[in-house]
Amino acid sequence: MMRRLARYLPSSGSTASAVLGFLILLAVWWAAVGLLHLRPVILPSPVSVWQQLVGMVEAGTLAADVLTSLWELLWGFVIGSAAGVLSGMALARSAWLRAFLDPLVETFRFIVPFSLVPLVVVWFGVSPAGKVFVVAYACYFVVAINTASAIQGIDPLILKAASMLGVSGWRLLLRVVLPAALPRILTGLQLALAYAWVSVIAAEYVGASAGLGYLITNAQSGLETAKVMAGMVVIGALGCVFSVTVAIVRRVLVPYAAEAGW
Amino acid sequence: MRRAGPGTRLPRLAAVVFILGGWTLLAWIFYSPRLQLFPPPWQVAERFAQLLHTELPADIAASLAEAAGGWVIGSILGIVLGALIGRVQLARLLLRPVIDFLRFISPLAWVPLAILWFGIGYWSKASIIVLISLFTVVVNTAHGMSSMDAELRKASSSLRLSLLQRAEVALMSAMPDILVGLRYALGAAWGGVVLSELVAGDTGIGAMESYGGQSFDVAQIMVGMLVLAALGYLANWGFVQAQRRLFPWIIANRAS
Amino acid sequence: MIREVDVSVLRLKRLAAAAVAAMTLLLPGIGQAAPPGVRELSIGVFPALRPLELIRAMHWLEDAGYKVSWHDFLQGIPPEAAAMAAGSIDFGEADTSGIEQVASHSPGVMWYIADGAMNYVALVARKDSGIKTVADLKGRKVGGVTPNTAPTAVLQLALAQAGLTLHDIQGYNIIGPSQPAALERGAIDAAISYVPYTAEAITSGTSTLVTTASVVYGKPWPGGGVIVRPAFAKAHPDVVEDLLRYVVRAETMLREHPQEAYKALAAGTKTSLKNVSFCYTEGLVKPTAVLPDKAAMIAQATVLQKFHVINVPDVTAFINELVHPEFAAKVVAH
Repeated sequence: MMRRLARYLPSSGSTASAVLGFLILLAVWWAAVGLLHLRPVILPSPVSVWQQLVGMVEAGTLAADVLTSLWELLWGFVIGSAAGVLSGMALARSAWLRAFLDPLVETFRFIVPFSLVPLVVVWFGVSPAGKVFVVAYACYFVVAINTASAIQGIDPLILKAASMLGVSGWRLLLRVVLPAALPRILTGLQLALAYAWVSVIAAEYVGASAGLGYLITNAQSGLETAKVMAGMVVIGALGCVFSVTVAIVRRVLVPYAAEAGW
Repeated sequence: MRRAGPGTRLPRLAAVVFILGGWTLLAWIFYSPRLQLFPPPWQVAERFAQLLHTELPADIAASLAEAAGGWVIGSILGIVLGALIGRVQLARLLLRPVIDFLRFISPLAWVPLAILWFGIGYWSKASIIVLISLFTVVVNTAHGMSSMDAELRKASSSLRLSLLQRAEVALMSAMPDILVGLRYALGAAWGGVVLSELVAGDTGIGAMESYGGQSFDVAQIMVGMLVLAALGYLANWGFVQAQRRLFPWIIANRAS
Repeated sequence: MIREVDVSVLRLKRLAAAAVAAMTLLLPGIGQAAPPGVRELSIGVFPALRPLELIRAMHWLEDAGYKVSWHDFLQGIPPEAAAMAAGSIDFGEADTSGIEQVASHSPGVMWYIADGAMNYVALVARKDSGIKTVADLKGRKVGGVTPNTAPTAVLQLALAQAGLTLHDIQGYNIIGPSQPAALERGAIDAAISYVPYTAEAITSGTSTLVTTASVVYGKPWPGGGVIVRPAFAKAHPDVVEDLLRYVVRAETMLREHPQEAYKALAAGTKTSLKNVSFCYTEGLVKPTAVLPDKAAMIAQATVLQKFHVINVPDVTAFINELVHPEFAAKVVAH
């Protein structure tokens, strides 16, 4: 019987599966609140979380925080990824550059972006510039490494065939190298975006005055658990939106390289 | 990525010189007499030596305990859940959608909730590492467990192996995936440690950085950053070594 | 390859056994403190010029046979309240306005059982910063701005009186102990926190006093007091009363043997004796009667409500739920 039910299960990793998961979790949550009688500071009821959410939307504070986080995410992601793609291309092209940049990348890679947060607070105060810096830092390495291995991983036969056909220089880059490397580069960008979203929230935990991360730490310091959970729901929802958007973009740009589930 | 050799030694040296030189240059550019916002390398080294005598060993021990405890617990849970999801239909029906949903809420977004549940102590940080490790390992384990070679499956069932022996076969065949999950989780754990300590810390490297930030002691923050990076590097290296010794038949995929 | 898998399994089993052994050795050290018996207490303090700090310095609880684990909360009431909500501390000490802010969001997490110190929040500014009044703070860097704490509430009130809000200044979340150094280095121009920390900036000569909480409030600022975890208080009212007896003793000592008390407090807060004496003689902080004054707290909560620092449907009911003078009443009556 389980096997038959399993056939109706939405595919792993898909939004439908996530929605189903949310419903299951909601049911468990409702039951826990009803049966366990925990204090609201530990586990508030789903209703109170919803009320908090509605209250924040109506007061306009949610919009302000979401926009702040999105702004920081956008700039950090764009700057970090652009630098990452360029570095990746440079790494793939020149062996000397690769040998030189490699130890640099390998060293700085292990410096956790979140350990930078107190530093940027000292340097930039509560301004968004610091958060953009952290996000860009986080994106850069993921994108650079993936771009480099993407370009290096291109089948050399393709390059040989292209040069035999007389394609070279910019045309080679645009019409042969990029399409071949694009799936892997996009994977890198996908990972970077997910990481960037996490980094924005995390960077706003310390030394911020607005943003979703600031929202939930602020709520925590006032022991407003319902508000914390409302904030988490918004963070998750936006993360889901990004993931779906990226999946669509991926299907449009590289229909020939689908993603596997688990 | 590149193996060391005569051709790469010069660029590597150049890179080190570049880092230290660039650092000193930036420190010189951003020099301000009262507020030392960008200490040069030797000042950071000095601060490191000072901290080594006072709070650094205790902080390292605290962060290590949180990372290790959280990683072990989360990995074990992840392997068990992943095995269940990979092999048991009921588990896959219920648990996989739940994990698919929870994955969208990054473990780091759970930090305030963990503080509300566990206070400021050990578990408010270790629980985050448990979450990080759990999500990474469960996905990889389930993938490994469910994609077991059909031949292997047929062989183990026709040999009438006991449950324990079949479990062993399944585990070993999924091991490459599991190990990848474990290593990624270990790498991600350090970020979780430092972040949760920044928010809720009394001891630990993140707390040390936070206090440095409070007193505008940038050198202390940098010491924290570098110590954490060193820990991450050593943990990764240790893992790869352990993997080579325990599972020599799995070709270790050099990191990305 | 089968043979190699066998070896791996064997090594894995050994590793697992070693890990389990290590965990069983480490686990007792990692886990939270065992739930305290009646003679074991877990107390949270922010080291400031308040009675619990004096009790800690004088070792009265330990001498009476209690085993106390003291926890320092340098960030003030928010982490202290979180620890209390999670059950890891039984008693705590905080400013009434901070307590009111947290309790307004999450009722039932703590009970306020005793008054501890009056006033004791001060705003200072570095001498060469040119800041003489609160209005001068506009656009300047101010340290000690942390949501849900007392100094920030006082700052909000002060700014409102000058026609400004928190958005008109650059707030930095710098804790009290770090403020004197930050002021001196020029990282911030002004700072607000509890004494003795802001007072240290005055006594060291780098800064001047701009205002104090009582001045902003217009009458004596209720200041700080002792809180208790409700479940603990219900289960062990005798222990609560015992602790309050020591609070009374601390307040008496501050009045009758001030020099001794100041010495003990100076050691506990790691500031100088000159600094502590300065605070008391200049009226930056004052000892109080221990019995909580509900009327004063209702008045304070009403002001906070007016300036949107807290937001509760019924101020009187809120204070009645939060403040429990019955324990102190029994102790003071003796």
